[in-house]
Amino acid sequence: MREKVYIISSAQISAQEPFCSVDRFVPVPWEESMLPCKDPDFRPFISPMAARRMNPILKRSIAVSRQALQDASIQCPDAIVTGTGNGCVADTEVFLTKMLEEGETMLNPSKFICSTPNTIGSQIAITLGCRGFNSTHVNDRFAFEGALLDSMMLLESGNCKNVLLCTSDQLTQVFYSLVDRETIWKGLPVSEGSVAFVLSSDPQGAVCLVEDLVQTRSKPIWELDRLFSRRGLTWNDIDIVLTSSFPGKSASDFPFLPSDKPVLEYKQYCGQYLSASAFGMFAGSGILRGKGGRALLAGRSKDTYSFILISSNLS
Amino acid sequence: MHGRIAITGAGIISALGTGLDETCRILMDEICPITPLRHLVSTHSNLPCGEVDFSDSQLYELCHEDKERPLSRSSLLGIIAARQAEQDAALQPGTRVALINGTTVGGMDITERNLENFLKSSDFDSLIPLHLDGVSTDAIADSLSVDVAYTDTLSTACSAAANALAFGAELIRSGRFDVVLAGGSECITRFHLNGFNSLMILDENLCRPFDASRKGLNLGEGAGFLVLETREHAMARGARVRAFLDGWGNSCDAFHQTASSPDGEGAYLAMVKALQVAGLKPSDIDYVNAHGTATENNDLSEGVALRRVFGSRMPLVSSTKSFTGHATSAAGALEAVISVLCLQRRFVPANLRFENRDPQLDFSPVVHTLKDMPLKHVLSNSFGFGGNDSSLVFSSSTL
Repeated sequence: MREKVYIISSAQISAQEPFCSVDRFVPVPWEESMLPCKDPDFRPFISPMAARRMNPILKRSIAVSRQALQDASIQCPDAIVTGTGNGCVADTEVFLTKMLEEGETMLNPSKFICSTPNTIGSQIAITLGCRGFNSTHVNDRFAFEGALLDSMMLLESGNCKNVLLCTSDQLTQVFYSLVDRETIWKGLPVSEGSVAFVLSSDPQGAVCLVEDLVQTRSKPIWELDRLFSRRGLTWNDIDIVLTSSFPGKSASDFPFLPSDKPVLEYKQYCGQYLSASAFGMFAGSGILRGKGGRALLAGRSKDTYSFILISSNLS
Repeated sequence: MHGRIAITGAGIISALGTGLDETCRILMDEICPITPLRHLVSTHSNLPCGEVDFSDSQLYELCHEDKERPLSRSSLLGIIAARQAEQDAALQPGTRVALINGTTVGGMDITERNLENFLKSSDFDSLIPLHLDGVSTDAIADSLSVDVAYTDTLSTACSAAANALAFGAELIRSGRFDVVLAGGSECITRFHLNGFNSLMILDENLCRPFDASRKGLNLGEGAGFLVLETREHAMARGARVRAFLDGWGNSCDAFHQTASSPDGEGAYLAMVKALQVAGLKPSDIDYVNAHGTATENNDLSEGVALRRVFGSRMPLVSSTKSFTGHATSAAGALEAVISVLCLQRRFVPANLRFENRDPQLDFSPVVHTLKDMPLKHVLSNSFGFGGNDSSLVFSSSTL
């Protein structure tokens, strides 16, 4: 018997107002640009001493994690699972650029130390004093999905009662100038953001249920059919679809979506970044909190697809 | 709950060579392949490293890849090891599998050679996406004959491959996949060679894990993959079982970004959890393939944790990083493949260059490779920056 997976709380820092909920989201200008996220005052979350040495991606990750944990009334989770497409890119760039410009002899290790993607999860663990399970997924545009699947398996098996799931990606000038060359990034508002969820196998105080997650490199229709039949669902049971598509592109990205289904393209609120699908689940769970029902989150990058089902029906 | 996780295929490329037989022979004969840099171009060419002794161009030829297809060295190594594993397991082409890769540098070798070109000209644009860890995993997936329905990339620094194997085992336990290819792939880059060098944890001489005179690690590189499936699935298709992956444990030391705690708490918890999952007592473990990087701090912390787990009944211990160097994110995969070989071919590899016991560590590792050793259970440790500590338990196929 698998335990169920509930979303208890969530928090976001993005191009939207920090920590605001989906009903206050406003679309971002959809144009070729660097779209930095809006940072909160970090003082309630991190001591000024610690914050001074911290890269923004670490401050944001700790802030959303602490906010979500506080909302779930949990001090120290059983596990911390992190998803990031490109990790601590700013510190990586500083160390790399210094090495290329100044040579290999007089390098300071401080930026290297914080360059690995797992710096995010380990800094959260150090801040919380959490010695539980700790892992980091870095799978390009599906880092969030990998981290969610890891979290779900920890809860379903009963190995953990609750999990802190945090995703983060960061925008830098160099990163922007490089990805802007690629056709799949061209002409977009390239952004950044951090999202945290507290997931639990206990429905107490839950916002919604994470019913299922599949990801496939080649067979979206086959996998979606399998997902629906496994859950005993048809399209009639889906109230809204949240897609990873750019505004107006859902029908071409997901030609198998019924045309009468309400669709929300959440990137109109957060721009494009690698772990933006976490922002999509933040938006989806926020909508279900207000309206109830069942949402399908549909993600796509090239030929890889992901489908996540969330429902306000907790049973 | 599904049954035990059988290991039905293995592939490896490292400083020890290519494939299971060559790897085994070098370990048996106690040959140390660590030398000053031969392939990576760096100011620090004097530093001893466990490089895979092929240039990128030779690796392309070895895996019959078109040189027009841009591939990072990590991906090239990964393709070679993952292909060996799928062939070793005799998986039918088209079998639905998940590929779980542990890596941190991804395509950093490409980026560090080309960053200035990227910024100056558009001629190199096709190389830019290779930087991402996930892209290096998908490149491996695209080169296999099995149907890779799902890929994921774990990046927990030097425990990444161990966590990839644990995640792969969970995918099978949860019933989501029947067959998983899991492991890790990582090449040496100037970026992390210089990172470790700036931390002053690289030994200018050959590394000496657990020795009182140890001065730091030697970097290594390589890739290793295991084919995991349930025992029932393996039996149904008549596959040969090389060993079982019976336990996995993960804990965060939550102490310091680069240093391990003096009481080895994270390492201790990871080992205890792995034993719990395997349903074993500490005294069931015959051999520990230690993380044993040969830094002052790691070996002391790991030694303290080992003593806490095993008490007065310390099993045989060695660090095969004295042969391979520290292959960072791939280390857990190389050592997983070596652990499987130890169980199957009944040997315990030496911890090379151990001479003097550290007064702070009240045990000595295995000094010479032991042959004809019937092993039942082997524990393999992988610890990473950030305190990401993981342990795996491998068991003999005869149990």
